[in-house]
Parts: sequence; C-alpha cells; structure tokens
Amino acid sequence: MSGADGQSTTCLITATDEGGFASLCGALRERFGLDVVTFRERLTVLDTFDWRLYRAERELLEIRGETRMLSVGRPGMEPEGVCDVRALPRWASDLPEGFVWAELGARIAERALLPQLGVERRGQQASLLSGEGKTIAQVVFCDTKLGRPNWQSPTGALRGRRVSMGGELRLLPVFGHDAEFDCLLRAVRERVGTEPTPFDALTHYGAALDLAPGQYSSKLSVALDPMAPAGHAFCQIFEALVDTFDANEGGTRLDLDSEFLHDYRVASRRCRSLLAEFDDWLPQPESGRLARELKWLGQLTGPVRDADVFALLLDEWAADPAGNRGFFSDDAWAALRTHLGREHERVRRPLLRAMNSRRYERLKTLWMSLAEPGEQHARGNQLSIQVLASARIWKAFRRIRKRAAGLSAESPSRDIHSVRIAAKRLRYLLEFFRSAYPAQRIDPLVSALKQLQDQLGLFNDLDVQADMLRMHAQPLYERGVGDAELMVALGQTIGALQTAQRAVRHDIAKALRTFNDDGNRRAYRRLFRASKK
Amino acid sequence: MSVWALFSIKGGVGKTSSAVNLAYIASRAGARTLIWDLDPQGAATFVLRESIQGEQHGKRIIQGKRSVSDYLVRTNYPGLDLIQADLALRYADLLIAKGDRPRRRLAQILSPLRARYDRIYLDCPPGLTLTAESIFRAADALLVPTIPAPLAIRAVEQLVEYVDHHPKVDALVAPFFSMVDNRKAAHRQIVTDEIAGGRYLDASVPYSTVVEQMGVRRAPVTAFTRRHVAARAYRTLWRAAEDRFQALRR
Repeated sequence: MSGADGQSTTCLITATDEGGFASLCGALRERFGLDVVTFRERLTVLDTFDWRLYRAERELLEIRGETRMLSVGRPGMEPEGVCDVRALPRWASDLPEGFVWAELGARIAERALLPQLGVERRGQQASLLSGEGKTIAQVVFCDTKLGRPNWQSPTGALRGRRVSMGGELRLLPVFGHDAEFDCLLRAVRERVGTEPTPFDALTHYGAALDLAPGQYSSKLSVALDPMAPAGHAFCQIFEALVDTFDANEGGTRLDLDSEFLHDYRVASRRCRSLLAEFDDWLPQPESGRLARELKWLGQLTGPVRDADVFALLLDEWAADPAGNRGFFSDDAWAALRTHLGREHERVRRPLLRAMNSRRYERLKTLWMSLAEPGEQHARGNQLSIQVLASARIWKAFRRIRKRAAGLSAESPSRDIHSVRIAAKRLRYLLEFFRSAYPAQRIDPLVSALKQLQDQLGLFNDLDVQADMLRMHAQPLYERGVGDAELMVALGQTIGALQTAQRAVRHDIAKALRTFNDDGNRRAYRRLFRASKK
Repeated sequence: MSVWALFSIKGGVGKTSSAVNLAYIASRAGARTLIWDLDPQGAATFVLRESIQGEQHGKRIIQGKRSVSDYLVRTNYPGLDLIQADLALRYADLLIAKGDRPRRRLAQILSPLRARYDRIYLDCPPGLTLTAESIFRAADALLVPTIPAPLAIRAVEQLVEYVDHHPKVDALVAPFFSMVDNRKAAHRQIVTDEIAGGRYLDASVPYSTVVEQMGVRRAPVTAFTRRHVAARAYRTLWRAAEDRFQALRR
C-alpha cells in the first residue's frame, strides 16, 4: 500500500452496513486495541475554477469536525500538510507558511479557491491501537451525503439537494504501519466480503454530482476535419467560444477572481477576430451585428480588466519591496490601493448593468445562432477549412514579416505595437485551426510565435503599466487623495518602467530575427502556402 | 527548513514538554514537522505513544549504515512525524566520536530530511557533550528552557559564551523561562528583568499540573486542551521563537 515516496496510500473504500462494520470490529478486537467513537464531520474540496490543484494531482480539503483544519496531499494519499484554520482560504495568501503550502500557492497564483464539493458524514470511527495506544490504522463506517457548495458562502454551505451515498466503509492507513493495514484489509475481505478500492473524494464523488474535475480549460480545443467545409468549422469554433464565454459569465458577475473576466474577454476577442478575418465567408448581417455587439461589450469589460490588471500588478510589486514598491511610502501605497479599489467598483457597475440587459441576452442568442450549422453557412461551405485557413494564415504571416522589416531596438513604439497586433492575429488563426494540421508540423510554429509574443507582450505590458499610473495620477491629484510624495512615487515608478522597456527592445529584435529566419519561413510556406494550390 | 534544538545543560527543566508541544503546534500551523527524541530516557517517545527502540536503531543511524528516513514514523497527529529514542543513545558520544568529523555528524544525518520537513525539533539530552556539540552544529536555533533561578541563568550565560566563541556554530540561542511559579516573587522578578534585557524570549511556560498530565494522557498539552494557560503559553512561545528566528534571518 506504500507509494513511491514511502507514503502509504490512504483510503480504500467499500460499501457495507452496520452489521458488516460490527463484525469487522469484532475480528479486529482479537488482534488490536480498538477505540470506537461516533463522529460527524463536513469535508469541503477546494480548487480553482480551472482545477489547477486537480491537474497538479493535489487535493486540498477543509475538514470540520471537532476541530477545523485544512489538509493537503495527493488524492488518495495521506496528507502532506495539515493546518488549523478559522475560515475557508480564498487566496494563496490565506494559506499557511511552509514548503507544501507555498507549492500550492504557486499553482493557485491569482485564482480564487472555490468550494467545489461538499461531503457530510456521520458514523463511527474505529482506531486500531498499538500496545502503546498509538493509532496505527483507522476504519470508518459512515453515512455520506454530497452536495455542491455555494461559491460565495464563506463556510462553503451546501446548496440544493443532497445526494446520499449510503453506508461507506473507509480504511485509512498510517505511515510506517503497512503490515497492520494489510491485516485490516484481510479482515475486511473476510468479514465484509468485499474488495475495497482506492478512494479519492473528487473521483469517487464527482460523478454523483455531475462534477467534471479538470474538464474546464481556457485553451481553445476544437477537433476539426481539415477536409470539412469551412462553414462547418466556423460553427464548431463559435460553439467552443460561446461555451467558454458562458462558463465564465457567473464568475465574472460575482467577481470571484480576475481570471473569470480574463477568460470571458478572451473568448469574446477570439470571436471578434474570427468575425473580422472571415467576414466575407460568414453569414450576414448576423456576423456584422455580432461583431458590433461584442465591441460594445468589450468597451465595458475593458476598464474592469484594466483595473484587475493594475491590482494584480500592485500585488506583484507588494511582494518585492526592493522593486517598484520601494518608491512608495506606506501611506502613499495605502492611498493608491484605496483609490484603485474604488475605481474597480466604479467601472464594474456599468458592466453589471449591461450583463443584466436584454441587449446582452440578444448578443448571446445571436452568438449561439452562428454556432448552428445549416443554410446560413452556405458561403463558408464552398471551400474546405484547410484551404481557407491556410490562405489566411499565410497572409497573416506575411503581414508580420512586412511590419517587422527594418524593425530594430530603436524603432518607435507604435511600430513595435503594430507587429504585436499582427502577431496576435496570426496566433488566433493558428489556435482556431490547429487541429486541421499535423501536430508535429504546426506545434513548433506556435511555440516560435509564442516566444516572439512573450517579448512583444512584455513590451506592451510595461507601456500599459506606465499609462495606468499616468491615468490614475490625475484623479488622485484632483481629489486630493495623493500628496506630493505619492506623485513623486508614481513618477519614479514610471521612470523605472521606461528603463525596463528599453531592455526589452533588444530582446524583441532578437526574437524577430529568430521568427524571420529561413527555417521558420520555409516551415510556414510548406504548411500553408502549399495548400493554397 | 530549520532545525530547532531544545537544549539545556541542566536536566528536568522542561525540554521534552516544550519540544513535544512546539512540534505539535508547528504541525497544526501547517509545517511538515519531525521531532527526534535524542534523549535515551525516551520521554518524548513515550508521550507520543511509541516505544523506545533497541540499540541497533540509533547505532545504525549514527554509523551511517541506515538512513534516518528508514526510521520515521507518523504520530497520532497528521503532519507530525517522530524518530523514536533508543538505547544506543546512552553512548551516543562514543558512536559519534568514532566517525569522521564527529561534530558535523548530526548535520550530515539530517541532511536528507531537509527537503521533507519544514521544521525539525530535537529533544536533546542534558549536558555539554560531544553529542551536544554535534547538535549545535546541526541546529539553526537552540531553544533553552530555563528555570527562573540564578544558577540556571548562569548556565545559559555559559552556553551563550560557548556558542559565541565557536565560529562554526551558527545557531540562534533563544532561552525562555520554563516551569515558572508565579506565586514566587523571585520567579516573577527574574522573568520580568531578564525578558526586559532582550535575550530571553517574551514567552514563559508556567509550572502546571496540566503539563505533567502529558505523561498520563500521552499527548501534547495543546492536543487535549486549547484554553488552559499552559496551552496558551506554548502557543505564545512558538510564535515568539518563530518571530525571533525570522527577524534574525532578515
């Protein structure tokens, strides 16, 4: 039952009734000391919306019984760390110190921890005791009920109906006592007559609640048939994008964390990019109308996203006192954060009003209608998706090369931004139609483009950060919130950002040389220009 | 990861009760914690409901014939592991002296555990011995339980002087008052004066039958009572030690 790192596998599970449990306890008493107590507990499984802990094979639980504690470990294994708590942690900063928690925090990053699954148990817990009275294994018989927690509840209170799992028998080993656990297993087989199986909460209980851990991803994943008509492919892409948009709508309304709005916006921007790139092949006037409505929505989500990004930036600076945070006194910093908090609320209000409007409902209906295959896509169906996509990708690639021609580390910022925008358009096209090409040929092109985009993105981020500081300086000054000290700190920070941006220029020039080299150009030509024939 | 040694030249001052309680509190604060019972009396082992091992156990560890990781056991408390005391510790000095670089031996033994634990507490035997020197080299902090009495304070000064004069010993020396009888004016005065002097941690553990109950209940105080003054004292002690250590690190 031991794992590779010497940790015992925790929790096997099987079904039984009270009679089975009593018979088992009788057998165990012949060999071990046994301490049986009644118990009642509630377990909450915590994870981010996009299941970052599940994907990293980590399980974070809050356990409320006689005490209230957090437990973290691999699913189905003994906990690697425990901690007494008074409230459900929401952010990485709410986790305790220590290596295992720091690792968890790094995975969670900017996302909120949400209560994903609630388990209520009551029953009896039998501890097998050594001669010294130490617990060397446990067997728990309980009646278990499941529910979906309310994400906004600070206690993870369950909402809706409970699902009953009936009587469960769980077997819990203790590190260093494998032999005793094997003895327990044998007794279960003999007395209960079942073969227990490995258990972890999400896998075992998730299906009963229609939970699909790990299923959500912000990455666009569409399986295209390269020979299928383009109209059909457009439907698939629209559907994937509106699904992502929908999935993030609730979290955006509730402002659970900044990534909901980010993914919501990315879905919307990808859709706008598709509508713009293939305007001549998509149903009209619906596509044009959707493009205009998404632009309207983008004008409302933009300021909220800016405020989110600025808040994340300040968090980052706060974690590095030797960096930009050092320019601000504690009072100036507090004034800036308070101002930003108010701004965030101010720009969220119009977005929420819009999301509650009929115009918004019509937008979604329109989007979903474009995901419906049929006659409306007759124009798009005249060509295969691979032929159409290849032509657009090749054109987008050439656009970058044209804009990047002659670009150097000394070029004006607007020229660098022009390349960045062209690179983004190409990236969206590659993402939409990736599955229509052999992975071993398109994946390296996406990786190379990403490396270029990382540098261009960093350059843009530094510009945006400096602009944000300038944008907020004015209202701070006018409202008398910021004193001279704060203004000086803002100015110094803008200076530091500009200095950092100068260094990035050289990295961009280098990345462009790599992107424009003959090898990359030949790869694009072979993959996308050949199909044009 | 940091290694905290509960050490005193004198015996019977509260090393074991402090080691067990601090280790338990650390584990409940989220640190992956190990307590190693280096005292052949095995009091910490007893409180944590394990048995003292035979002689081969400790001998193999010190001689390097088995890894210390082979002797880790989980206690009743998730997040808290134990290396049990064993009879070979009666002549640990002889075993350590036989090896190369004896004063570095314990640090070498603990090295593979650094990635596995956030905190390691050593419940040390009393006395200034070769084993103690090896502990000093391995530890990041020496927590010194001290009864508020002049001779006990003098013993702490001797220890501080010893540590100061050994350039290869880098540990923070953090004495604290233990078994404080608040009915005695002398105790109260000494505690107030010495804490004000800045060397002693601003946290003291009272003399209490609840602490003695650890031997009956075989559990840390803070595991069977949260509200008793002794439990609160240990939590304050843990916080004070951590704060001082972090301040020194900065």
